[in-house]
Order: sequence, then C-alpha cells, then structure tokens
Amino acid sequence: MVRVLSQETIANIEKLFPRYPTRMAVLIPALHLAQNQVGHISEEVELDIAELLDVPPTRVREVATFYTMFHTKTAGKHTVRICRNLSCQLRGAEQIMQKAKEVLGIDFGETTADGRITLEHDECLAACGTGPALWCDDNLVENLTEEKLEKFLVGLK
Amino acid sequence: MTTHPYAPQGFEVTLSKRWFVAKGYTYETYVKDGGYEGLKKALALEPGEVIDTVKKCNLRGRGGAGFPAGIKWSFVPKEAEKPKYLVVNGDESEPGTYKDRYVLSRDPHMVIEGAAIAAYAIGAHQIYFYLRGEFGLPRRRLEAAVAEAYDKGILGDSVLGKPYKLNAAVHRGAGAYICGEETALLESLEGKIGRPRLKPPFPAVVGAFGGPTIVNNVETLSCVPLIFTRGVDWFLSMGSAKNGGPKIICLSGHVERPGVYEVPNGFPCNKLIELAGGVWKGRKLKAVIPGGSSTPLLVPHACQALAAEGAPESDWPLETDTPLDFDSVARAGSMFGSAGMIVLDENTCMVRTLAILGNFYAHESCGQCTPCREGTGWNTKMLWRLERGEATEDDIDTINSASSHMLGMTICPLADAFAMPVQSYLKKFREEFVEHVRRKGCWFPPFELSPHGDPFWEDTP
Repeated sequence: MVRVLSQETIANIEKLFPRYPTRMAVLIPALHLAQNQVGHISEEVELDIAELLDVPPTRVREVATFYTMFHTKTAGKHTVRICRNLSCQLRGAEQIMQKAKEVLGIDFGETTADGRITLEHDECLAACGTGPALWCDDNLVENLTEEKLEKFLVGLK
Repeated sequence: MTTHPYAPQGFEVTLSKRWFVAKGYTYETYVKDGGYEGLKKALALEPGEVIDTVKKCNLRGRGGAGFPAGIKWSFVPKEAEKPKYLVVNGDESEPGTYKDRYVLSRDPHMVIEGAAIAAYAIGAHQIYFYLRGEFGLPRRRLEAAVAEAYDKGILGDSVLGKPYKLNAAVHRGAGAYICGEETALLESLEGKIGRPRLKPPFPAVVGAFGGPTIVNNVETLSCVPLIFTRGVDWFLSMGSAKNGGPKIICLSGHVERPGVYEVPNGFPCNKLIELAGGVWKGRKLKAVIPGGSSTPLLVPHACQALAAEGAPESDWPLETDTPLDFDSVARAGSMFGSAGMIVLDENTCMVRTLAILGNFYAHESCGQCTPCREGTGWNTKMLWRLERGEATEDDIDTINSASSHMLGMTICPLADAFAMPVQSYLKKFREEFVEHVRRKGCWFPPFELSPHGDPFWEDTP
C-alpha cells in the first residue's frame, strides 16, 4: 500500500535497482527522490520506502536522520545552506550569515512564515576558493557580498 | 606547452589543462586531446602489468593518506567468490579542499578513463562514483560524461572493442564528511549510516557488498591515464622517487589570488604563495594549514628538519618553505593531506580559527567512538569559551589533555583530525591562548568580508 510516493517517484526509484546488488543500496538515492517530491521525509515516506526496498522502517529513519541533507520536518520550498567553515569565515562568512538572518527575519534552523525559505548552516561546501558561498536548489552561489546575497534571497520565489 | 595563470611559468599542466578550454568536459574535446589513449594502452597489457606500471610510478593517493595506489591495487585477490568493485571517492569535504570539484565538473572523462584502467587492473566490472550530496554541477557533468562513455563504447559490454564488461554508476551522498573515510563511504554506498568499519579486513579483501573493493580518490585516478600516455619516467621526473607526478593544490584564505594551482610534486610552499600573489593586502604571513583543516600548522620559523645535515641555523629554511610533497611536509611537522592549503595572515586569531574547525569536527563526528563524540564537542565548547573570555588558564591544559586522549583512540582518524590541529595550535601559539585568558577575550579584529573573488572558479553551467 503506497501512502505518499507518486507513481513517478516509485518508477524512478525502481529504475535504480539494477545498478546495485542489493535493494538497500538504493536507500539514499530513494530518500533524495522522495524528498524532491514531498519536500521532507515524513513517517509516511519512511514507510513507503521501507516497503519498496524491503528494509525495516527503523533503518530508513536511522539513515534519514544521520545525513544532514534530509529534512525530517516540514521545510521551506528552498533550503539555503550558508557555509560557516574556515575558508569562508576568513573571507567574512559571519557577516554574510548575519545579513541572511536580517533579510529573511529568521534564525538558522528556521523557515520563513510564507514557507519560502529554510535557512541552514553548512559545514564546508568544497567551494573554499570562492567563499563566502551558499548552496541552494543543487547549485552554488559563490563570492558572496551582502548585495549579492540579498538579491539572491529576494529573488527566490 | 600549455601553462595557465594558475601554474608556474613554463610548467606544462596536464591535470588541469582542459579546465581552461571551452567545453573541456565533453567527450569530443577529451578525445581530440588524446583522451582514452591511456586506456587503450593499458588494455593491451595484462592486468598485472598495469598494476606494476602504476607501482613503479609510486602514485600516492591524493585523497589525504598518500598510500601508493599501485600497492593498494595489488592487495585485491586475483580470485574472489564475490564480485569486485572499483569505487571512486568524490566525497571531497576536508575544509580547504576543493580540487576534485573541478576534475569532475571540468574534465570528467579523465577520471572515467582512470577508473576504467583501475577497474581493469583489479578485475572489477562495476565502478561506483560516490559524490558528496552537495556536488550539483560536478554530478550533472559526470553523469553526462558517463552516458557519453556508454555511447562511445568505453563502458558497457566491451571496453574500446575489448570484450570486458564494465558498468559505472554515479551515487549521490547526502551530507556527511565522515563518508570520505573509505569504509564509511562503503557503508553509505550500501545504504547505511556512515560509520567507519573496523579494519582489518581491509576493503581490498572485504569491501562493498562483501566483495574486494578499491576506493581511490578522484585526483588519484585522474593521474592514471597520464602514466600510460606519458610513461613512468615522465611521471617520476616530477618530484622525487617517492613523491612523483603532477599535483593540484587548493589555495584559499588570505592570499591575493586564491585558486587551484597545478605544480610538480615538491614545489616549495613559499613559492606557491608567491605565485598566488602573496599574502593579501601586503600583510605578514602568520601560518599555513598545508593539507586541509586537519593538518598541523606550518609557521614562518626556522626548521632544522628541512635543512641539510650539519647546516648552521642561519641556513635553515622556514617551515613555510617546505617542498610540497607527502614526505617533506611530514619532515616539517605536518601533513600534505588533501592539499587543501589555507593561508592565515597576521590579523588571524588562532583561538577563533581552531574553534571554527571544532564546530565542524563536532558536527561531523559519526558518534560511534566516545573519545571522538565527546572530545570534539567538549573541546569546541571550551575553545569558544576561551574566545569569549570566559575561560581560565586551566582550561587550556584541559583542552590539551582532552585532545591527547583522542589521538589514536578511535576506529577512524576523525578524532585525530581535530586533536592534531588542537595540539599544533596550542604548541605554536600557546601565548596567544593564554593572552585570551588574561585579556578576558579576543582582541583580534573580526574577519573582513572580502570574497575570494575570481569568477573563473565559480560553477558555471
């Protein structure tokens, strides 16, 4: 019995089965696909994936909570992750983080009231030569200034 | 001769050559430039000969540990009950390291070719490219390149016409530094949380899905085709016998021109900083983190270990003059690691720097071993207390002793990766730590907002 996953998501997950000798190996890719559809990994998503991959639901929960890219609670339409590691900090990431809070009116770990943006820290994006940097919707925004950041955040629809 | 603004004058770049070419990431560009010739040559050899060739080059792993790739490959048993795997470690996440990003996004065929040679050498028929979850453009480019490789007969039921079944898949991680450790990576590939495994057995014997597995870094594999097209002597001509080949080094922090530089192995650290325009704003150099955030500091102080035997002290080179290769940087008291070099200017607070790194290690500890789970967290809390001026001198000793109880006490080196910088920063800048107690806080200016800057290094779709 499928609870929330769409036929399309299920088909995309099943397409990955032949790539690996076990079904469990599809767990992380499946969580990505499910999160793309649903927005976060709810209990229903966990149960759907557990049945699809024939693994215990506790295993799905364990993995979904271990990896930082999976949201286990409702998240905004976009997640903005600002790097706070050393190379970015040496080039002023602290000021960028303050500016982000100010522009969005929320703290890190929170979501804007309109559900548009969730703001998160990131621990190194491997974009050290172009920091301060952020990552959003699978793309980097690099060499951030306050103006560039504000323009980007306001432009996220 | 191809040089570019991010290499020494007159040095022919090979690893980063196509980063500077329009559409350098396509099959067409790669093949026009002699791509997949190395694979052709390797396929004409017996697998054992391929391994011997790489052994002769002493190609040392570029992911951090510097273990010779050829020797690693030779650990795979010839006969095995379970399928063998070649896994490409593209989980690049050691702070300061951002080279594999460009190999994958600007020249993905080079790593595919290297991986195909490695797979053939060890008898693997399946390649997994494990990429960190945040690699957007690198993953899209690699996926496109893998599809091209299937199209052009490099992957599939035969490899360049030779009947050898070879498949490849790109596997996306989900945000966990620890998955760069090879056994955690394998756990993650199998669909589990990234907890490192006890070794032995080593992955070469029991790896992915229980089969013999080799895990190699992206840059390491990119070097492999060059060995077969240009030869062992060419490879060894760059650097010393134990540290050969071209090397890409990531520069970030307080230099005028940050970027990924390609140099011969053993290129001097001070010359590299000069090449990058020197320390920014005409300021003095305080310290260099040579090989990623977990490596101990190099400071501009005379270093006997780098000097010729019997040389008078006035002739000793500085730690920051060290040749950049695994053995020399080790002699200077640090590690070349993943070549993620971070330059710190004289206005940098070492307590704050270390506390920022502490945030990272505390966040990324997988939680499996107590010394790591507790040690990274408590040390980080104490460091921030020191930075805020709420610590006592005793706390500095506690930080030191806590870190010594993390070293070598855990399954994987993540605890060491924080304990080593803690001990190094305390040893080299103890006065500055004590001064934070005396002055009840930090007197250094905040880090200035001034982006690294060059749009050339930005991801451009």
